[in-house]
Amino acid sequence: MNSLNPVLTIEEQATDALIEHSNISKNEAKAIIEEKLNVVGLPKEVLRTYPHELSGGMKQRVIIAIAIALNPSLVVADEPITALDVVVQKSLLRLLKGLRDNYGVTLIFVSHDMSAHAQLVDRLSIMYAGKIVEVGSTEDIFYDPQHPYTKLLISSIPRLEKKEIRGIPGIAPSPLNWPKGCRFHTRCPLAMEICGVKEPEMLQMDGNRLVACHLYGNGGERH
Amino acid sequence: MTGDLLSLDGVSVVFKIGGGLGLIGAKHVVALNDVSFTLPDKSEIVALVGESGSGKSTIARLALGLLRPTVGKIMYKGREISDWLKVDKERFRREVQSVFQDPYGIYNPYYKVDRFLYIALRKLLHINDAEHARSLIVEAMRSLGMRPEELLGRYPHQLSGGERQRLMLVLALLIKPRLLIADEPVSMIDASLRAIFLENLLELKNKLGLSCLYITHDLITANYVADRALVLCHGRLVEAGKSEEVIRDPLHPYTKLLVDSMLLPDPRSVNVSSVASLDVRRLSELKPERGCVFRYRCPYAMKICEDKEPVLNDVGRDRRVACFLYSDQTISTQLG
Repeated sequence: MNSLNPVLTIEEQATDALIEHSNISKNEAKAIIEEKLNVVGLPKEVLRTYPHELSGGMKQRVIIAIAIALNPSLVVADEPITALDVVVQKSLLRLLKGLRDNYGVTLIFVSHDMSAHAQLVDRLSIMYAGKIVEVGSTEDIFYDPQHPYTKLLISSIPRLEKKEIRGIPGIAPSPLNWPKGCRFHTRCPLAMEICGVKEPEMLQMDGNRLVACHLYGNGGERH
Repeated sequence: MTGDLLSLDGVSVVFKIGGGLGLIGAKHVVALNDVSFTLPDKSEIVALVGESGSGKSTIARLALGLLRPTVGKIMYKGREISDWLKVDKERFRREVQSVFQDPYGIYNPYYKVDRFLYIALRKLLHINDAEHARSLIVEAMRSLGMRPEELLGRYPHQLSGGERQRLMLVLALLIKPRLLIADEPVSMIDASLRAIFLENLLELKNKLGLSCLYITHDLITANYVADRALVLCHGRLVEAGKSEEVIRDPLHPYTKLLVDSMLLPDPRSVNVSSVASLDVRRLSELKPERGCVFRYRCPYAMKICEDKEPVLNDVGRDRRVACFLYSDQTISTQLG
């Protein structure tokens, strides 16, 4: 939400990337941006405003409009809906989904909001302390998590029908001093001796599932 | 009235923006418009829900005495908060504590995190002995499942957002307030710590018998911790009731919109459909000058909603709604 330049109008900064990356005039760039603003549900008057005149949701939509102006095939969205209102969150997710369905855009959606993941993404990579620990389809991750960290993460999500949630005790390790072996072993309820010694390799499981944990494969006690 | 813990009676807050010294050219923003509700003198967590600009945080600031109402009265234990600050500020500060949204903004980066705990113990409980203070802090942290040896003596940047928020709960456990004002306490922390924070909050409620105003836009956590929910829209209280019932069966069209916008943490019940483009909305403020504050966005808006502002009506089972769909007046006015 703070990635817009506060001293430039939306028009100046939105057309900038377009002009820089393609051989078009200012007016052509403006026409493209107007069209993209229309996609994100903003009137063209927005072009004359400065970022502080817009709400958080509007700023996010301006940024999405800039991101799709050059018809990208990949968009990386880092916490794009965090700290926005529920109503705005939902409309932004519908829009991001529309980018995939209507424009064939691939999206890397970075978020700690598991609800947003459940609603939007096809595939989910679970990260802990700088490592990917599990990859799978969204449904597999939510309904059949394999890695102990994923299991705990899924059980910590508050749900409407479930009045019991559990957090993960302990604190995330410091990047200056990662634990030896598996980085989760200091908080893992199933940690074995090997976990503090050897880092688990990423294993291919059934289907499209990848898991990095000594509980699976033959990295465990048989070694 | 005097038996209530906190009561707002016809509270409005108007901010003046722009216009310099004179009144000419000044714009007024009505942050709260005639809001009344009470927290009875029992242990209860009450969620305040609504979008940005609905007035949630204004209520938090009023309850902490950081802001005075333009019109109306806000009372704590039967006495106006402005009076408390004059007469017995120390007791008020001890009994009403806060947890804010931004776990980065509240700590001074130059000092170790435990410093504010020592200061609070000294100023509010007159515990000057550092050893004694430390033992109390360690005990409080342990009882909330935190490891003091990992956290005390560290600087704010060395802790995660969730840890910083939970230290505020440690403060609450030490000072034992009667009322905790929590303004979006979990919106900036991740899922696993969010769960622990909410558990700690419920523990505090049970251990200390405290009440809490839990301000959030997240209905799922509101449903999880709160006994009652109050829904605010553009500074008006539009619905109030038991939190479970308000979320399971919302009556006001605005509450319906909020519930419908809730993102369910379940890939098997996806309620977000993809769109090619979003509807273009006008840039001008979405709040109508008169009539019901929600009527521009309301799918059920009627003629009467333009002319009159609905008031909170008791619809039974501890539920109050400010909407002409649920008032007798609608029928009589429509017919007459």
